Amino acid sequence: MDMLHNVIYGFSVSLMPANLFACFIGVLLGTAVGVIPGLGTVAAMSLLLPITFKMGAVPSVIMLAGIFYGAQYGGSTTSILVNIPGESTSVVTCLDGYQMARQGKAGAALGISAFASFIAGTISVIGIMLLAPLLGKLAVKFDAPDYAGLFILGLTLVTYLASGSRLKAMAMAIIGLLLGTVGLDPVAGTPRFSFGSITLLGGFELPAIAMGLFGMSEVLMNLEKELEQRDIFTTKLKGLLPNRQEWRASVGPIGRGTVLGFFAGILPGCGAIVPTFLSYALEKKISKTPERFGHGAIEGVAGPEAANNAASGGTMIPLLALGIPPNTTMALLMGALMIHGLRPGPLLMVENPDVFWGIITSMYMGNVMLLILNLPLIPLWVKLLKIPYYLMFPLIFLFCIIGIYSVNNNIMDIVVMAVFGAIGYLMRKFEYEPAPLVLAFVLGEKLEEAVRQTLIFSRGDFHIFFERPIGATLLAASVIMIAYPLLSGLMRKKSSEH
Amino acid sequence: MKQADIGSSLCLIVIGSLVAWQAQKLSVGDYHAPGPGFFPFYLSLLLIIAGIAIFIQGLREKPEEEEAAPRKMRVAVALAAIFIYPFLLEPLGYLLTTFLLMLLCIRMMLTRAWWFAPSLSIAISLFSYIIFKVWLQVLLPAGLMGF
Repeated sequence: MDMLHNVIYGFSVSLMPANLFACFIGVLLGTAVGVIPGLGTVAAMSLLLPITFKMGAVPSVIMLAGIFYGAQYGGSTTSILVNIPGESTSVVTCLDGYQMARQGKAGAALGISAFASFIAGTISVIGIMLLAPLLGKLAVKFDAPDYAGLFILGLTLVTYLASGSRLKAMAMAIIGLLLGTVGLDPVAGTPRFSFGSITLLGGFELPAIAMGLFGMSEVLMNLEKELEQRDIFTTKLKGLLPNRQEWRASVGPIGRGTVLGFFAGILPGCGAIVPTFLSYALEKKISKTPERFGHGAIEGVAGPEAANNAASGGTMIPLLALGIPPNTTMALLMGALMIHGLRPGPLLMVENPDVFWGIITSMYMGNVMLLILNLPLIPLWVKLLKIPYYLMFPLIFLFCIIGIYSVNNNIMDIVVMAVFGAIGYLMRKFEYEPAPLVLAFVLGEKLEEAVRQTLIFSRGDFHIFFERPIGATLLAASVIMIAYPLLSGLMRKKSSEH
Repeated sequence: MKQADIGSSLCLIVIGSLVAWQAQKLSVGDYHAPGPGFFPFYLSLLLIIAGIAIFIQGLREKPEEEEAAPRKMRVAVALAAIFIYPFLLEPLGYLLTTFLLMLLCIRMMLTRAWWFAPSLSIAISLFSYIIFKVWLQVLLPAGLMGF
């Protein structure tokens, strides 16, 4: 009954008018961001990060989370109507969704994707309620060396699962950790790498880095491309409610997509993209008529759409229960929590139950709002697609500038953001991913504290990291993950020499 | 040889060496009493190692075909504008600086009737001023002329 009590308490927080409003704004903006291709979720969340400084902790995080899962709804709209994924998580939806639209079934495709998202989102919220406290109970036993192990595992996973070169991802993670050391030393209070500059003495701030690396560099990359005219389906949308036959075909894929997405989402580094591909492959494999896939099969829309929404719920678990962000989006949420003086991790639900249960129940409210919002507002979203890029990109620039300036009213923050924008652009050009850098930056200070505290405590004895069962297990997992690709590479070479 | 990898890895090695040099000045300490320079110093060594590994990988890889990027100019102009903007912000004030930035960005992207970009820029500047300064009460610099 403890759970029920907590849930009711959570709703009493998330149903407060200010929080309800934050949730509404979040999901509305999220859907808009999802609809617009070329404006990613992470970029949008970093743009809004400074604004949340002026709000309370609970509404800020509720709003940022709303953007995250709201974007999963919005992304599918663009995939279906324009055949361009609005979000990277709705790439798969293009395959059959756009074909359905061409066959005049755009309404059914949009409808089923909204319902699949709703069902999966709701179920994953229940999953969080059940799983997060269990994990949290385990994590209360954590001490400094265990935390060091946990952070190292998180960083290893992100580099391990990087889509490009792992070496480059590792280099970026190291740079992120180094960026975190600029400013006052957390243990001794000595200034580091400040070179007499007051701006550097204060250390880098997450909004400047995130907005530069994600927001501005994305715009700069888009500027290079030739502007293309988009082909939007302008036929009248009708029949948004799927008929009984369409429902029958979709129930299975939605169920499987939800389970797959939720558990894949919990894995650090996995995010919401991989599960969509897994779900599509699964549905195609078990279908009696796999040849329909790619030609407007509703299962190919329902499964992946459920998977990406369930995954966006699943990724909240490591952050809320353990205090490690499994991906960049969650790193931004963690940044928002820390800015408000909260410590994400196992103690969050004990020390700040209003934050913990408020966020989780707000996700339920958000899903309801999205379902109500989405279906009638689709014509409006289509209009949003017609905003030309020559208008869009100066506005994104302007929003970055005002956002970052408003944090401290310091023009040097704009310069720092611009520097990171230029660095981010070069990184994209040279195929370095920004995600490990940002994640490492967020974790950096805590990792350093944990490592140094442990070493001071053990008087320089490194064994302590391997003596505690939890810490040792986590470190062993990281070591295996780093060593495995190297070893398998060596073995392959040996066997090819023979 | 993959030129992009060679160049970027050299950058990483240089950054790593610079950080290592600076971190040494901060008292690295040892395992018994890790000092402020401890963490950055060992990280910079790791960065140098990663840089060398990427360098070697780059040597082995086949060169990529240089793709023509015809719009490099746009990126350069946009970046320059963002760098200059903060330095004009305090003397000129929010409204005027923003107008100039918007004008530059929009004109760079399209050529239409002469009045199109200026009037759009005025609209954006005024509209954002009303939203952020008047409504949300963000402190935007007023400039020497008072707006």
